[in-house]
Amino acid sequence: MSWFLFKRIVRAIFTVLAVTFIIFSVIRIIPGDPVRMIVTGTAPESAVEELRKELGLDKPIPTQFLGFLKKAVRGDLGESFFRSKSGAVGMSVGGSSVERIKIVTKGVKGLKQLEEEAHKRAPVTNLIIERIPLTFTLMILTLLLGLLISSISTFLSFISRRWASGIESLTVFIQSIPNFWLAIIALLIFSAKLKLFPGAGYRGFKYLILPSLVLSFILIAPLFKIMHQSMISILNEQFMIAAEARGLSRMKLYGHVLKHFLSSIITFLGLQLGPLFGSTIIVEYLFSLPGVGLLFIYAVLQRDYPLVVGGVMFFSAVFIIANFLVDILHGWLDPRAREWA
Amino acid sequence: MGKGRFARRENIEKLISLSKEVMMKYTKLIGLIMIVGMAVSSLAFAESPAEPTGTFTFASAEPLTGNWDPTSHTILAQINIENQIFDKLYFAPSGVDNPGKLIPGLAVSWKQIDPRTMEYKLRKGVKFHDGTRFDAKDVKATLEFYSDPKKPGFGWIPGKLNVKIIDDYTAWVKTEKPLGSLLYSLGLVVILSDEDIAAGRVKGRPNGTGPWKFVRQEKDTTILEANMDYWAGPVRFKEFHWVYVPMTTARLFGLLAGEYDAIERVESEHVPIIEKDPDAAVQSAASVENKWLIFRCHKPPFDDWRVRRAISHAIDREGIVHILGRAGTAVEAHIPRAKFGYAPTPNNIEYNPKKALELLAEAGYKDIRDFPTLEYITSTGFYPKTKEYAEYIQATLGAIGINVNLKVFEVSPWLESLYNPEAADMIDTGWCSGTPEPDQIIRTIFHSSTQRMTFVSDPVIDKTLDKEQATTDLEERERILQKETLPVLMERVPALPLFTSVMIWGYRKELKNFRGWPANFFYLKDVEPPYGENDVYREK
Repeated sequence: MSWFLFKRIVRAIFTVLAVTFIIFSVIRIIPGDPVRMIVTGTAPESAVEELRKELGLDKPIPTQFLGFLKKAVRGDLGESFFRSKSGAVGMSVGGSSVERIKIVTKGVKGLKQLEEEAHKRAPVTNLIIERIPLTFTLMILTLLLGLLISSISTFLSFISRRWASGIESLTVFIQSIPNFWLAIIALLIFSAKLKLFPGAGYRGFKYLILPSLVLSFILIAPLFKIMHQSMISILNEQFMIAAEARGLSRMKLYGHVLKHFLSSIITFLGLQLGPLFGSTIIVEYLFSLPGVGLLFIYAVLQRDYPLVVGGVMFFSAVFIIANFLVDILHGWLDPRAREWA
Repeated sequence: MGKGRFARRENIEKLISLSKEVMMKYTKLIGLIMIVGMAVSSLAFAESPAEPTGTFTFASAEPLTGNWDPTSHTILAQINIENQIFDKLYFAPSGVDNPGKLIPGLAVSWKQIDPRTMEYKLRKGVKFHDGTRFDAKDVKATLEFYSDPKKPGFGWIPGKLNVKIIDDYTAWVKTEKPLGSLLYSLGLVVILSDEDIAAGRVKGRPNGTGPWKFVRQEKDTTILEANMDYWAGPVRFKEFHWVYVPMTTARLFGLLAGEYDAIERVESEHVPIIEKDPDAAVQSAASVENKWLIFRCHKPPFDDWRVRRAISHAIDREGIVHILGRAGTAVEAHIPRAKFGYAPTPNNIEYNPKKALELLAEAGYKDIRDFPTLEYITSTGFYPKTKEYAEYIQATLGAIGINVNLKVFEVSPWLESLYNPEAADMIDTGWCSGTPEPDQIIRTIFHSSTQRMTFVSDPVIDKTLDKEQATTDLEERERILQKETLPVLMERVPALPLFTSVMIWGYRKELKNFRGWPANFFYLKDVEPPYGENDVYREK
């Protein structure tokens, strides 16, 4: 098991590094100059060049990457080109939740420090950390809604064969709808016209219901299929027939079914993490939810290089860790998987 | 007193007499008490000014810069929010009916002392948000801070400024040479505290005298609170939430759902949707922004003004305005109607493909097949309908045999190309300044000393721009602009003004007195006396 873990960890680190280097280089090569976006139109060339040097963008890309790595191993992903720390702390407690924690833990000294540093660029780690709770809440809510709707669909499909084919057709139809179109239609009908849900933005938990419903649509059809097929195949297994013949109680039977059932669901959900992340970014943008996905899109549009690279590292790390946990869980649920690994 | 019938009558007479005596003696005192009582009760029951309540939420199409130094940028959204937090010497509504109108702000009056000196009398009793007093020292520090040639925002100011303090509330602004453009240019400058400038706190600390105080930044929302000590009285809302929402449909749906009280840069096809909604409305204003087709005048083929003029004749600007719908209006000069000195130029370029070919022949392109393929860059994701009208320009030029290679870039690479002299032969952009001052457009883009975007270096253009800039008499300056400068620009056409942008705002109907200004910002506080009458408020 420990050799299994070690191999996984080493592979994960190399993957994150490779992805980071590719994105680090690509974002600097494609057209778009963040320096011009910062200083804008009437700035003299000298101001442009001065800022370029200050941001380290005059150096070759490999040199820049090495400099970035040296800081990254210490947990420092650099500073955003465009976002400053907290704004104005001089007159009130400022900005990010991370900054506020600093004030609470360091007291007056923390407040003074923030006041002196208010104009400095915000650390990428802080910007990402403060948005993680919203993105993760959205994703978890999506998963729960997807599981709930698929479970209900699966249950209904076992009531009647006609219902089963109807539900299957419906879920396939739902899956074929592009989620960006669905998001716009959902906002127009349920928010703007019917006012059943709040509109774009985030001012509380209820703002996550419509976006997570829209996001869950990418999970419903495949989840329903897997649940439906898994149930049928498990119930037809010889050990189930034998267990029933031995007179095991319903609860014990369900226990056996559940273990096999969960194994396939968890594997599937692990595979869906990548597409789910991608869709979360789009949905956050469409609904203007201030999560990590929206931050990442702004960073790309503004060419905020440190924030783009930090965002990529975050997504790839979460994706790798999640798959890693899925492997562990799968191995625990199904001993055969441990042997194959 | 006596008894009996006669005694009773006597007593009554005595009583009456006594009463009269008392009345005579104490009338004045009683009268005084009544007056004082009425005065006190009127004060006690007088209607106290309404306390600010509720939140006003605005969805912005552009992000803020994260840097509160107003001289570090030229971003419209940042200028808009700075206008909420800071004040200026005067406010310039820039309306098409009276573009030169100025409303006193921190300056209550001003006059030209000599061609190089402008005197400002300042408003007394004004405080910054940190409680410090506003006076002439702040004006001196601010104007000298702004007019540093190394600053990005220096282009807005006509030259280096020196300010002499006459007394606490009088300042003389001195220029190195006579500058007729000084008056309106200073309408863009927000006044900072001299202490903040000296301490280097300007970047991280927005400390103004404006109707709104900065509270904090929460992710993409900037939160402001009412300044209860504002010199024109407090605003009617308690909080102002400024939210960055780049997607037009997200802004639209947010408005319709009641999430946002007002939104900006509404697309013209969304206007009917808003107008159909019972709770929302639309407001539009011909702005101070022209959209330009910029020619790269430093290299062939556009180093010849005849070629520029020929291409301009081959572009159907009326058709472009039609494509824009409500988002654009025709323009007949190199400055929009909302600018001081505007007048339709007599030599305005009309759509005339035949004339285009004649001019090209004159410039040496007798056979149109010899004309090079033009590289044209447009943007997407910020201005409305850019791709659509760029394609139309490509088509109309193609109709006379000119090949155009059109590239559509998102904002960041487009912006980089805009200032890169080697990128493309033509590129389109908007240019806007929030004052009536025409030089902030025509001098910034067309004078050889600035070399901005067009990279034009034309002594004829320079001469007329220098002449109007140096004229301090407003009437004379207006005459020069209308009779000389604008016609020269239309003849040499270093850039073609395609149309004037119409700024379209959407807002909730329950908001009363909401008014967007042509410079694409707005005030929730009525800055024109009598203060308070036209403040924006929410009708319940």
